[in-house]
Amino acid sequence: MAHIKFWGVRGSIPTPGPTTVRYGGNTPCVEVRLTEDKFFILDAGSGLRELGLHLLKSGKPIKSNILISHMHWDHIQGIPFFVPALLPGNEFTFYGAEEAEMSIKDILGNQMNYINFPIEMDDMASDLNFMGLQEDSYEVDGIKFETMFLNHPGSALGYKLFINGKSIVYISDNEPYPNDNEVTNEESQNFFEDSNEKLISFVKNVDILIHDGQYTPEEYKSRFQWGHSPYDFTVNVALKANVKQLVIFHHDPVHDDNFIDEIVFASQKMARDAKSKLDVIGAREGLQISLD
Amino acid sequence: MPNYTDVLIVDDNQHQLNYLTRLFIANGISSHIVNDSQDTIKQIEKQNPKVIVLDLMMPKMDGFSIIKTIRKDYDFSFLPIIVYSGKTFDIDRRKVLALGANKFFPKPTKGSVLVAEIKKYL
Repeated sequence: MAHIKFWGVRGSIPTPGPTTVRYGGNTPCVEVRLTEDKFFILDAGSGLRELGLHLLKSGKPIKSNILISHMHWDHIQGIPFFVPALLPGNEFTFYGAEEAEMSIKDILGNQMNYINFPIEMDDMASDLNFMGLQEDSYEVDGIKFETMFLNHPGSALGYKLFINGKSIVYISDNEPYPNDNEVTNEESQNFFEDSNEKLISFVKNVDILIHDGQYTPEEYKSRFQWGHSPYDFTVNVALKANVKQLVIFHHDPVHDDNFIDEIVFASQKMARDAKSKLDVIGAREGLQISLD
Repeated sequence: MPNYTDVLIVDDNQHQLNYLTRLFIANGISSHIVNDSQDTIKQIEKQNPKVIVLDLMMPKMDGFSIIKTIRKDYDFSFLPIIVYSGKTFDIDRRKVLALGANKFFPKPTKGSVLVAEIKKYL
């Protein structure tokens, strides 16, 4: 019964069309289902619309916790079209990195102000709650999870959930820390080692790692400081951390299905060449991973 | 007699705290370290620093929240804040300056550059 299901796997902007049908064009949204009635949602990209329509089929009141990695549009744009949030009797709590300038409710709600969208967040008839997070450990509805700040513009969080005796890490948007060769002192060396070590420690021995693998190493050279990872960095992190399964996530909007195939194949080859048991797959809409 | 220190260093990374402490000693700057960012305000009251060197991504309470708290505090709102962070995106630099930090340096920055900036406030 317990499973993960991917409803949106694309980064930056929805990319419908004939060249993206296999992996899908919706922006990030992942369902982590514990029981028939209990589930978490990771990110609220355009995939949230499809998930919402699916949830309505049960005919029962819907309650869920929605963990937002960060507040960039591709991770929140599904909210205005999340039909269960419009209906009374349903209840949702949105979690995200606490921002110094604005509340979580205002950040999410501003995309629905009356100029941008005809229904404001306050008009949504479900019971909506909002909670700011820091880098810490939490327990919600009996489920423990930990957060970690990521290297991405603004405040972005990675989540580690402990479900059914398994650990799942969701790191949708993350870039390696830049190594400044001009500063080669002791501090520089320690800083990069520590930053790398912190990420590896967070994902150490986890069962499933869903991680940004948006670029090829060649592409990354011209997309430095855009906040995303080349797939080789992602695979190396998974190898060093003894991860069991790596799901390459947040596909670039300019990558068609065949190009993403090549990224996944190259990632799988890295794991084989390392003589590792690491299982590498590419996230695609509709993909379901059992947690039983 | 109340304490007075030149710099309060707020960072969760022990290597960074060690490095900065040694750097400041070598340059005749006194410093006090805060490892748990939640203690920052308490230590500002206790140590009376002339400058704060602040990391951003820390557990429990991040640097953005600390800047906001200091700038809203009647007694400490004018305290100079130098952000020294591994977050090197331009949007984060603009964000901390908008919140009221005086200067942003990405990690790693040459020690001499950091010291020169701190000495402006001593």
